[in-house]
Amino acid sequence: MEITMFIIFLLCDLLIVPICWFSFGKNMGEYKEGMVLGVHIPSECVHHPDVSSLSGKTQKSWAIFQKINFAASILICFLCFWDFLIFLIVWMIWIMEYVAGLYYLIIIPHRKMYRLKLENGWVDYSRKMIRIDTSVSAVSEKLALSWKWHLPILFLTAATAFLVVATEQKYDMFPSEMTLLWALYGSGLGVCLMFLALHIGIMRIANRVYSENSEINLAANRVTKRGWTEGLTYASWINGAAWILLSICYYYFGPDIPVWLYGGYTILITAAAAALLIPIGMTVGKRRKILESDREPYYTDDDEYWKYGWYNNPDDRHILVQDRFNSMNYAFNYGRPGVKVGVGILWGVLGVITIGVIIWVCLLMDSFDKAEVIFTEYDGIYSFEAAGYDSEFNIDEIVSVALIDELPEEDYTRTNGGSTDKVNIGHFRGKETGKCMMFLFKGYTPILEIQLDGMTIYANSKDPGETESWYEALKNN
Amino acid sequence: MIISLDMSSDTPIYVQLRNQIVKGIGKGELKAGESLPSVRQMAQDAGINSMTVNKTYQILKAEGFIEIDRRKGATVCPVRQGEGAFREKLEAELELLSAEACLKGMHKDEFLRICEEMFKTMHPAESEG
Repeated sequence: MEITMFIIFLLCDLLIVPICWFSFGKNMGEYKEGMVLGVHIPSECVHHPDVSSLSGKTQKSWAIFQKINFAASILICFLCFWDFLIFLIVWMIWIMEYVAGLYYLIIIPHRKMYRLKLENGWVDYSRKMIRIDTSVSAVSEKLALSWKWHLPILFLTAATAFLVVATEQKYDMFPSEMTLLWALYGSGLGVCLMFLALHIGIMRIANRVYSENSEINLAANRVTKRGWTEGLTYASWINGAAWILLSICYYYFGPDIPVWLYGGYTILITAAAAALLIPIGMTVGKRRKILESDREPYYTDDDEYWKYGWYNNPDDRHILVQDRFNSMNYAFNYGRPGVKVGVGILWGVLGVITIGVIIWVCLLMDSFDKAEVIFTEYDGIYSFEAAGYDSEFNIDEIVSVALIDELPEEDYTRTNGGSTDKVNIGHFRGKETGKCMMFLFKGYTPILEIQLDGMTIYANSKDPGETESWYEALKNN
Repeated sequence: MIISLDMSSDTPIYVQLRNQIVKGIGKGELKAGESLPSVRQMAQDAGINSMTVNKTYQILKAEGFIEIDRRKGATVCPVRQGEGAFREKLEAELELLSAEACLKGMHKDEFLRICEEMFKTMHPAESEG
C-alpha cells in the first residue's frame, strides 16, 4: 500500500514541478513576443539597466524556487513510509505553498516591470485596437478537432451505470463499497464531460493575430487549437476507457478485484493526464518556431488590462483569454461580470474543502489514536463501537462465537475504516472470510470472532480478560 | 486580410468594419468568391456583439459587395459595372471632400494627384478558381 501511494505521488510530483517550471518559462526574464516579464516594451529597451537588473533577479529567484520545490516534492513522498495521513497533510500544505509561491514570483516582478514601463514612458496606445485576420476566422471551425469525437466515449462511459447496478445486484456489497463504485463512475463520467465542455470552450476562444502575415496567423492558431482539442480528446478517451475496464473487472471479480487491476487503472489515468499535457506542451514549442520565422510580428500593447498580474478588461466580451505568463494556459477575464464572483466562489470552495480535509484527517487520526472498543448490550441487541464505526446485531443473528489467537491467514482489504500501526477498525473484506468488521488493537490477544449471517466481526480489548468476558456474555445467551 | 477596429474611435464599429472590408476588396486583399468569416465567428474574434457584424454584412450585401448564401455564408462578389445609385453616392461624397480640400487651401492638381494615388492602390482580384 505504502509503496503504491509513494510511486503514485512521486510520479505526480515529478510531473508537477517540471511542467510548471517549463510552461511558465524556463527563462523567466527573456524577451519573447515583444514582452519581458509579461510587459510589452520596445525591443531597443530590453538592455536598459533597470530591465536587465529586474529580469536577472527574477530569473535567479525563479530557478532557486523551482529547484527547492522539486527537491522538497520528492523528499515529502518518503513520508508515505512513516505515516500516510501526515504525508497527505504535508503534501497538501506543500502544494498550496508551491502554487502561492509560483504566482508571487510571476505577479510581483510583472507589476515592477509595468511600473518601470510607465516611469520610462514606453507606452504604445494601440491597446484599443482590435485586429481580426479574416482568412483565419473564416476557417476557424476547421482549425480544431471536432467536439463530436468525445461523444462515443461519453455515451459508453455513461452506459456503465448499468454495469454498476448489475454489480450491486450480483454481489453482496457494503454500502461503502457501492459509494466508492459510484464515486469512480461519477469521476469517470464527470472528467469526460469536463473535457467536452473545455473542448467546446477552446473552440470558441478568439483567434489571435500574431503577425501581418496571414499564413503565420493561420499556422499559429491551428497549432494552438489543434493541440488543445487533440489533447482533450485523447485524454477523454483514455479516461473513459480506464473506467470502463475497471467497471467490467468489478462486474467479473466483484469487490475482491485484484490489486494489480487498480494499478492498471492508475496507469491509464496517468496516461490520460500525459495524453492531455503532451500535445498541449508541444504546442508551445511549435508555436514559438512558427513565430520565430515571422518577419512582420504584430503586438498589441494591452498591458493596462494585465497591470495587476491578471486580465481585467471590461470591454472584452471574452471570459477566457490566452494566458500572458503561460502560453499553455488560459486566463479568466476578471473584467466580465460574474467572473470575479465565480472564481471567488471556486477558490472559496477549494479553500474550505482543503481546510475541511485537513481538519477531518486530524480528527480522524486523533480518533484512531485514542480509540476504545466499546461493547454494549441493551434489550437483546449487542453492539461494538470504536472510532465512529459500529456494528449492531441481535442474538438470533449469531451463527457462532469463538476466541482465536490470531486472524485467519489471508489478505484483508480495507473498504471503509482505518488501519494504523495500533488499530484495525472499520469495514474489511477477506477472500475467504468475505465481508467483515474489525475492532482490533494490533498485538493483543485473544480475538473474539463472531460469525453472523453474511458477515464476521473481529474484536478485542487492550484490557486483560475483557475480550474473554465479551465471549462469555455472548456464549451464555 | 487583416481588419483593424479602433474601439476608441467616434466612428461606429459597424461602419469601420464595412469600410475596412470594402477597402480590402478594392485592394485585392479579399478576392471575388472568397469566404468571409461567419457573423458569429467574426463577432467572437473581435469581441463585439454579433448584431454589429450582422448589420455590417447586411449593408455590404445591400451595396452589392458581398452575397450571403445559407450554406456557403458570406462571400465577396465579383467586380460589377458602376450602378446609378453608387455614382450618386460617389458624387455626393466627392463634392464634400472637394469642398473640404478647397477650404483647407488645397490645389486642384494636388487633390487629383492624391485621388489618383489612392485609386492606383486598388486592384480588385477576381476569383482564382
